[in-house]
Amino acid sequence: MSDEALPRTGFMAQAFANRSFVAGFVITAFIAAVALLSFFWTPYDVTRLIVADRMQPPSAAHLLGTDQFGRDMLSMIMVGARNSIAVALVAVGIGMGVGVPLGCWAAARGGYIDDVLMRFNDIVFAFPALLSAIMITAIFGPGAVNAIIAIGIFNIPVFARVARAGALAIWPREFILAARAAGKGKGLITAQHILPNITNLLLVQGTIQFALGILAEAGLSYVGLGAQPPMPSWGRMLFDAQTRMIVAPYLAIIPGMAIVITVLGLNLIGDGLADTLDPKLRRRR
Amino acid sequence: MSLLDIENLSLDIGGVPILKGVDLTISAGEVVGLVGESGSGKSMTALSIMRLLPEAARVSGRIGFNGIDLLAASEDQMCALRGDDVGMIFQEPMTALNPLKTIGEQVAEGIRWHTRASRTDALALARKMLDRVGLPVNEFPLSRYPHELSGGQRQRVVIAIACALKPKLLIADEPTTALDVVLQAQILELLRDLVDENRMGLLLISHDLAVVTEMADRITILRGGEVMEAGETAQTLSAQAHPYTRQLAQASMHVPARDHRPRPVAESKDVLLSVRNVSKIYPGRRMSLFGKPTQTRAVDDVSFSLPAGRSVALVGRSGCGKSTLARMILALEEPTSGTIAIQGETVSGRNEASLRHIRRDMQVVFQDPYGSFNPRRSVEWLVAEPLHLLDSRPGRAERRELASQALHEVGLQPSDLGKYPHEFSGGQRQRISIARALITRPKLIVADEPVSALDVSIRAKILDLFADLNQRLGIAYLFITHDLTVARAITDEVMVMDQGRIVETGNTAGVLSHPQTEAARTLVEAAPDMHRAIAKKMQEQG
Repeated sequence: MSDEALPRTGFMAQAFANRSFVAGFVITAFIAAVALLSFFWTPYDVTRLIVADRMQPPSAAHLLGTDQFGRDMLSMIMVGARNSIAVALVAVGIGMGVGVPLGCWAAARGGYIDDVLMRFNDIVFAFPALLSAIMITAIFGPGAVNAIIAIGIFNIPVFARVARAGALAIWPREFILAARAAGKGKGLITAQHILPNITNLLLVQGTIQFALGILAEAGLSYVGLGAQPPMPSWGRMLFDAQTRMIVAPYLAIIPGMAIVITVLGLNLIGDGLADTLDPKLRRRR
Repeated sequence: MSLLDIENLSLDIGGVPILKGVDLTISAGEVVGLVGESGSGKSMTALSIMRLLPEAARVSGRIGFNGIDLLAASEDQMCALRGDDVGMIFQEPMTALNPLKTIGEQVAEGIRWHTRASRTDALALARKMLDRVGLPVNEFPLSRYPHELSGGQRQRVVIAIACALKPKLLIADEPTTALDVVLQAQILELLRDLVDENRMGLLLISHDLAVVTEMADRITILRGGEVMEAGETAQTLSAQAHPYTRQLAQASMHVPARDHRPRPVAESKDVLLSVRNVSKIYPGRRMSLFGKPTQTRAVDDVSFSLPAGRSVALVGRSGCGKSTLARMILALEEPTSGTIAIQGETVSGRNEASLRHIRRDMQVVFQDPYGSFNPRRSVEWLVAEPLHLLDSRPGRAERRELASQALHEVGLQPSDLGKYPHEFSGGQRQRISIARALITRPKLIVADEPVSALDVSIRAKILDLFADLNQRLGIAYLFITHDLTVARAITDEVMVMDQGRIVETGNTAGVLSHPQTEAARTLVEAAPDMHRAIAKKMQEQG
């Protein structure tokens, strides 16, 4: 009845009053800052191999130790963060950029266009995403760009579905009728009325897909299809560490923790945003 | 001794005072009306009795029920009382039922929980109860789901649930607000009968003074969480001793001052809107995978014409097709057959571009003052939206000027331009809605139940505004409503619609005092009337 169904203005201000959102935001901002810092400064050069220093446990000189080639783990984690975030972010961008217009179009047009688009969506959903991404990168060659495209493609139907569902809930509202009575076409109504009212939904889905993208990138580089050496990546670091798990467990634990913390931070943001979006979901405390 | 005895009940939620020293008593077999405008604390009083208040609420005072102090009772005691000795009926029959459970299960649920009856016994009692509320088992088997019932039927199920265990006290919070007048009359009669049969106490909460007058023995008038006046219904409302009582009573019967003289012939000859043999058929749902879908005739061969500057009401029960007809006139939906023309130009079958100059002449005001604005846009943007229809795209400054003029027209300030819809009350939003409709200087405004979501005093002001705009700017109205008071207040002519057809047309006063057709008669008889109810009450008492 009231406008409770639609988020009010001041959405971000409300989000910052939410504990899990703030916790997630702090974690994510830290990771992002580290990734940015790596463009200008890392403790050591990640492309220089110093075999004499190989596999050193954490120490004052190497805060997180060194790997089997003597590279500084902290520096690699920093550059790896840059790589993970870039891949996941661009993949989310592809998913949103293609999926949201498709979803809005389907919702606005209805009829057979809606049917065709959504059945196509269902078909893409039916493919196991990570395995298909492996297939795509295996065919077109490994590398960060192909990983981005592969992950991005599987983000499209997710965003299309969310955008369509959100738009369908807005279309029957009276302010849309009023806009139609003001002679506005479907495209203009989508841009001016539908999109501003589904941004919050998309934001929540965006953080979730971002987290999944980081996991997918780690998965792809673990099997050697992501970013190629010497570019460090968290997944590849895990792969390299697995044969040395007994001798130097920190080689696996450190990149593993980096992935876990980043994904946790993003999921907390997503939860916080979703709670803010729908107060009824908020658990009683 | 009275059944329910509320003494000096005060309530604050998160530090905001909601109720201030409310006193109220109800005896067995008595109907007490609790009246007030939105935000006056009516529902919170009911929730205090049920102890269903939000967690941040702090209550003081005493609520005695049948010798128990409810405010001191434990949660277990309350659980035993709720639904057994105290039943509650809510406003919205659409959301008060669980959509995944059959009506039989839902009525039986409370019976089984409170009496530990077996499933069979509980269902037998449920069957009896549903039969009592007018849902006989051969027509409405217990296996029906809520979505298979209409709004009125659902409200009957809610009443059956509340009354299944013959509660001593029944609380009805706006039980008929979501229903049309005919259903309202039926539901009120059912409640009345149940009260008489079981000697229940009934607390009837409503914003509608006429409804309460018809039903209640005593009345309590609430404003801002304080009792303004309380007493015997007919006396209180005829004496109108308290100024607020008088204000409420006058507002609910308000008729705007209008010029009823016949207009110059030349003006009324101008046909603004003409509707010829219009029908709308909706394809129904397919009942089986290969079956043919059934069809629904929402509007069935409707013809009428509306002269310029006239104000016409389209009245009918919910689901009679009046909103569908309105949408077709506004070219938001295509008629299946027939033609609609504005000033001689056909509306149907055009594309958006060629509709523009027609749309400029007709605008719309909707019922829900909350849903009719995009919450993300400023008032300036929203009011100026129809300027999209002008061929010369006005610039920023001009848009602002026009929007501020339109706001002025409806009694709002230019400083309101930068605000957002949520900063306004329901009545103010309805003014903004009218401003938006006015900005292109249309010749016709279609208003779909424009005042039914508003409190009586605000409703009176909005009706005044409509009447004033009609006089000053000569705008014709098509008023869609199920509320005859509204039709009577501001229209010259009335059309009665029933099952997709217009069954009766005539001047408003004539049709409403001497309805010719069955459909019109039902509507007129069901409409609650405060004067009539007071007179009847006075007569009963001698």
